[in-house]
Amino acid sequence: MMRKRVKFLILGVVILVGLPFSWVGAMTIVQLNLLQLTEMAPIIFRGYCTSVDRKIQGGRDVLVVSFKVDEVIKGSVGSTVTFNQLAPPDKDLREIGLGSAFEGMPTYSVGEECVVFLSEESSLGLAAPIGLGQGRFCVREDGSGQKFIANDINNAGLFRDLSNSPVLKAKTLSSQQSSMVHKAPQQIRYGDFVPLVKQLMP
Amino acid sequence: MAQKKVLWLGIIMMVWVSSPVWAFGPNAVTSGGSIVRWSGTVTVHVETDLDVRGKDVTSFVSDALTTWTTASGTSLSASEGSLGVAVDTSNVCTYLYDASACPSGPTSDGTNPIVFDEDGSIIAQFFGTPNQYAVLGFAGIVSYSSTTGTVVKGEGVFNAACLTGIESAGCGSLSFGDDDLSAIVTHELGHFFGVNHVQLNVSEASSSSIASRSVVPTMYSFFTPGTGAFIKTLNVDDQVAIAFLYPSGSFLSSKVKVTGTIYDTDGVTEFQCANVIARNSDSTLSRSDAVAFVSGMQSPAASFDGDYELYVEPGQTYSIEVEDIEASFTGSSGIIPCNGASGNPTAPTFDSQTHAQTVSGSGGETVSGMNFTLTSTSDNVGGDTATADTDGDGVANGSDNCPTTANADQADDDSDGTGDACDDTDDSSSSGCQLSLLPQGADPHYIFQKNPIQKMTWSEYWVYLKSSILQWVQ
Repeated sequence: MMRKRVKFLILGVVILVGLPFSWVGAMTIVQLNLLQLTEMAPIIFRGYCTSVDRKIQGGRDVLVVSFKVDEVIKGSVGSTVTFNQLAPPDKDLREIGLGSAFEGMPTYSVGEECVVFLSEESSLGLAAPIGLGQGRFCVREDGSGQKFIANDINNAGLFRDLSNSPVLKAKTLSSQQSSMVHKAPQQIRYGDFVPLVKQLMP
Repeated sequence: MAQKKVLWLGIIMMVWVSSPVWAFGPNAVTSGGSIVRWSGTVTVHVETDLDVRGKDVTSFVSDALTTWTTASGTSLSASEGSLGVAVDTSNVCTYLYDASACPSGPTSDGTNPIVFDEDGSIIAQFFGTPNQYAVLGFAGIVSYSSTTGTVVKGEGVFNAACLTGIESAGCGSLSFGDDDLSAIVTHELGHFFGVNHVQLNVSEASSSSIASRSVVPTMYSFFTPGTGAFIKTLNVDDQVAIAFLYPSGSFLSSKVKVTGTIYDTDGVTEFQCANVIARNSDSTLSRSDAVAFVSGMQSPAASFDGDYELYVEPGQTYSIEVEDIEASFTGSSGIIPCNGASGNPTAPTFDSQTHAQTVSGSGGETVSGMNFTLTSTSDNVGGDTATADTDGDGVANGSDNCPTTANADQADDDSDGTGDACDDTDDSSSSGCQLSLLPQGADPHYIFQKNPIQKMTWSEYWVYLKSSILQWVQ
């Protein structure tokens, strides 16, 4: 129902101006390493996505995302977290020639287990993972049942410059963590990720 | 004095190097197959408040416009006008449109607004703090005719919160310089004019050597602060891309057009989203004279083909390479229509290949039928990927300071980003100022960090700086 209302609202704009239009957008975002993500994020938690609703809120197209929190890694949050994030372009809207500048906004699936590095809520009541899709890591399984975790850019740059960081040198990393930092793998085992984030905490 | 400058330059470069950025690419074809582009002279309407904490940023836009309109082979024409108003958080949606953030904004009001978000507050209200230090801007085409593809409205927002020298508190190591902002504005205005991302020379783009970026196109998907002086200048591929959209009368007659189709392993099914590169066969030009095209890039949404076309110089010989799109070029950083976002398929993977034949021709000539059928075996080296480990030393190319020379220890005595094992200009033992003189364990990435990610107070930093200089003097 909400999705239909979004479409009607924007279709209304199209009819109003009498012109088919679409967004052909672009955005520049800093690629953040894991230390930067950990330091910048006011809130980091691990949990399961319990609901994703798309609706018009304050005249904007937003996702209302809720997580059941299993572990608070940074910040102060309760057993559930709900935040409003600008929605990525709706596929159906694109098919009729509509879109959004914010093509890379993170998406969520109910039941998915994720580690989220979340921003503060803005004056408009909006929030987003730090670095947008970079700050939302979700669990994937390979064919053998091994769990891996990845963000929206397949962990690109996540370990950049970490091996020489004095912050890490001051930490006591396990040999496995140290190897991970030096080898900068794109595939990160889920079980290794949260302990490493905790090690990087300020 | 000169040595001190070198010390400062070295420190600053390492600070900048720490934060690559990336951008989104446009979907440049209408559902009917028309290429989305402007018609006639494009006027951008710059907001009136171009004073960013005392720094006039007017030139960033005008320089970028000049860069694109003077590219070789293009007829693109653009002029600069005024929006007549200062834009901030209170009125941004009065002038800008976005389906998510400003769905009630104008789509055909005759303006193409360019806005400088002085302190990142516009970004912060859309994405929450501290994302204003990570999201550096957005630009693109707001509306176009779905039948002809002719653009009606475009816009751009550039975030100057972390511009070095006038950066906001909280930017920390995410500050960037004037050349970097120029590169960002140039890149984003490339999207504004309808140019897509390109994957070309990934090895150089991923290298820790700043100088290697001279062969990385402006429209490459990722950008490393500190490399702006190179990236703001168009490469051959950028020039061909803008000329392809807005060709001058002599463009086609001055180039050799190379066309072909990529087929899947059955030899019949056309294969979309393969990255096809024409690279000059002369080893001295092979990295700088190269152009790329994603197969099927011009096919309308929801349809697929494996066609490509490339434009190269007459009188030169080129090899044709086919490679898959990098795994990290997905979603927001991807090359549309292969980024796996918003209904686009994820780019398929396959083994890189180099065509057995080479291509050459004369101006105005079309060399057609340069077809490929993909195989399932690694029949050519390719290896132009950041994730590959060409030298087998256990460090991926993207992180390796010597990608083609095995050096598992990554030793880099002169801290110039090029490992000792492959550094012909290793000057760590010379008498000049070297970063190796920094205090043991100091990490320049954190020198300038301030709240909320404080790592070193200014008094601590001053002591640190003095100790650095003293060591250098000794």
